[in-house]
Amino acid sequence: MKNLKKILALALSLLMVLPILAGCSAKNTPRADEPLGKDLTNEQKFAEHVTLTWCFPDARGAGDFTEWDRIVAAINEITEREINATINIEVIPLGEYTEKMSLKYAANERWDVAFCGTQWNPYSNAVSQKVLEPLTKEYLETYMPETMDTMNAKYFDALTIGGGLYGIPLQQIYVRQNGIRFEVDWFEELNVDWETIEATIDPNTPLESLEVFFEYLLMNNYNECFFGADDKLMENTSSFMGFDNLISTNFPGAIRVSDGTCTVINQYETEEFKYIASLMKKWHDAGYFSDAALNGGQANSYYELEYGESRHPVSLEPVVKPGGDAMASMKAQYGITIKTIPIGNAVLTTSSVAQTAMVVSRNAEYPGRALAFIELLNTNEELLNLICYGQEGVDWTWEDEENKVMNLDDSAYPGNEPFFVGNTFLSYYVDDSMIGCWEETKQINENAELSPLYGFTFDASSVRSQMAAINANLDAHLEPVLCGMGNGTVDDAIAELNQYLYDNGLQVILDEMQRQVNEWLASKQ
Amino acid sequence: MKTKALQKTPASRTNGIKKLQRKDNWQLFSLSVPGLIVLALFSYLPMFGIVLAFKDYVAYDGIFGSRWVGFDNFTVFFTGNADYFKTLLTNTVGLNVLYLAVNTVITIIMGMLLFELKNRLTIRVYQTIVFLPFIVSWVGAAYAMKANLDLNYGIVNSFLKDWGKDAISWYTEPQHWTWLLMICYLWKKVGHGTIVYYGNLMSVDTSLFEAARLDGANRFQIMANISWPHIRPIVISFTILSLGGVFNSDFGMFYYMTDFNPHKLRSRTDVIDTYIIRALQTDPSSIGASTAIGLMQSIAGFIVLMLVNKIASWIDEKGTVF
Repeated sequence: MKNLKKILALALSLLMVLPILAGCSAKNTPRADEPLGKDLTNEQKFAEHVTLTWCFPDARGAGDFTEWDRIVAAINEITEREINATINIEVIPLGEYTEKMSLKYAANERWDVAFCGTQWNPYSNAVSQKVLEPLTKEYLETYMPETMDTMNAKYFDALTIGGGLYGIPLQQIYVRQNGIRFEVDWFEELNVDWETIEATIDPNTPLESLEVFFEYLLMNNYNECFFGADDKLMENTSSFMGFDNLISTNFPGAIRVSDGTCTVINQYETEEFKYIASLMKKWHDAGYFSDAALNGGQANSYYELEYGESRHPVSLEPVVKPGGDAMASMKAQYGITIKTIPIGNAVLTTSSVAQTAMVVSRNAEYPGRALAFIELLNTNEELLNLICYGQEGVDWTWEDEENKVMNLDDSAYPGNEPFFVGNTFLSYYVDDSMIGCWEETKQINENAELSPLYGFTFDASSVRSQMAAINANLDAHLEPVLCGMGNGTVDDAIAELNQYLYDNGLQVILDEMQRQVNEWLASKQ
Repeated sequence: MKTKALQKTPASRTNGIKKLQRKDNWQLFSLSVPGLIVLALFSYLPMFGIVLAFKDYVAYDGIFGSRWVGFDNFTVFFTGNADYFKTLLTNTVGLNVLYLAVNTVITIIMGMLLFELKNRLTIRVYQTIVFLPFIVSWVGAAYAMKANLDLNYGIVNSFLKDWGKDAISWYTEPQHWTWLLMICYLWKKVGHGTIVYYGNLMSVDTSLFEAARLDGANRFQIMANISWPHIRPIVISFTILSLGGVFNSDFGMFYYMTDFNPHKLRSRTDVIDTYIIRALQTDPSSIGASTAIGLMQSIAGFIVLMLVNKIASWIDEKGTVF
């Protein structure tokens, strides 16, 4: 019995200790020595065949496609030919992407390449968890020569945290400019053409000029919600109001871009916000949108279309882009024509560039090859379009090969958004009206005004408690105001919101933000 | 086991008896090994994780490599508005105690009623029906709930409309949820308790019932004077153990059954666990903070458990856990 007890005790203590030791050993895996040097040939760089795991955010259900294996085989044909690597694509539905990646980080799981952004799998979190490979100049020059040559170096500043670079921004529209989105079909039914719409929108008060359309729709007995109000109002109007947010569009703490002093403010205490909130209340009371806005019942048109519910003739859009991938995806998925009119200024902010990036795991056995794969997604249009739209001749055909316009009418492959995958500017046009829009977008990016805080990333670690307290019920206090359904007058509703924020320690956060901003500005000089 | 061994040699405790016990019992002991392993793996092994409550966990540095931060993780929970904490505590403890009390009463009654049945087939059918929800996941149940309560397409609202009444917007009106969640709780948990008490009643010496019947006792008298005293200790133990978890709530129920705890329902349905998941959603160091909160819940629960155990020892010595 004594022996048995001893053995049991030993076994139990071993059981307790072993997994911890196993957890420690994960990061000490030996790493292959990869050749480095600017002038290496592909044969030298890619001599050894490797397998890379790519965590793929599946925005449209590509992984559920019945012939997904065919797409994967075609992808691997390209990667094996170009970089001698087989890609093991780990499909993760977009809705679960952030959580799944967090788990991978916490468990020290093996992966090589992943998507990071501001909204999904936040880049700054991944950096603070130290799970990303620091991208040295040597590695970048060896394995991403073309991207390094073609991409403006200023875009890397947005992903530089504490002096280190851990990600490659995916090329797409970087500029944040809000816009008004029209579903043109609705207006055509009422004999309102696009020129009339464009002419009616007053650039100084664009939102108020929408009221003409709402009244017109109301007169014509459209018993729908004309305006797609939802809880994403801040995201959709933040740059229109002229803010650069330090944490997120909803979280208090921003600077005014036009204000050269970089003073941190609570955007919910500004006149700009009061204006927007009053407008929403007015529109709600006038019946331009229903109470359902508050319950997510008439949220983003994309999702609604999937569930076959109502659409909105007019809604707001977070980022307007020439041609626009929102337009492309609406056309590709639902055959709906949408057009947008930009409002407010176009500004380049840290988060607008950092919103889509590719990263390499610190556990990657072949970080160079992982970078080479990202380079391929940035430069190889055959690969990018294969992933996003499928195989030529099978999933789509050319409508106008010279101008790179494709015909997706008979496609069953759901594909993915190019900005989750690679260089958007390499994707083919899905409609002939988009011809030339990628060049236009590049120009917009290059010419955009830089936010005074461009390159600054807020380190929230010292105010976590206050952030947690605010985050816990921010939606409950903010959403009613955003949907024009706050208690009492607009002033009352805003006061209630700010009361909540300051009760939960907002002042501490604002002070810390200002301190870090000042420090950052001083370090720049 | 013990009684059996003692019956064989009623003399006194000698080394011989102990040896005999060991020989007799090693097979029985071996039966418990899988259970012990599970206990070690899922209850003792994770205890090392408590260390994370005092660390700023960084995935790459691992558990040992992460920085010590003292009690920093504990402050996360206490930074918010004090009034809201009252709501949180009232909901967590209040609903837990309420549901536990109702559940206990109903399971006792159900257990006794089941014991009154004599037809074996009927017993099996009832047992299965009441036990089945115990193995249904909250996520699955939430869909069934939604099918019943949906504003436009739900079964309940369809009936209400047919009867000429207004449809109820269940998912935006908090006042219904105290009892709606109680129904969910009972639906899921009653079966388990019922089977336990029924099983316990099975071990009562049947001659007691026969004797009572011969003496002219009716069914209620038998229940009150034989069945109830017999299961009372186990009812007390069960209640004490459940009260140990009074600060933890069934996250699945409060989160999924309410359709992700929307803000309109929070005044009645927000509990510590659902609050924490919202508060820490965007925090990269959430592992440390959530461990700290889990630890606080457990310590508070342990204190309650000890207190209740002490009180129970004054009422009925047999029911206490320690």
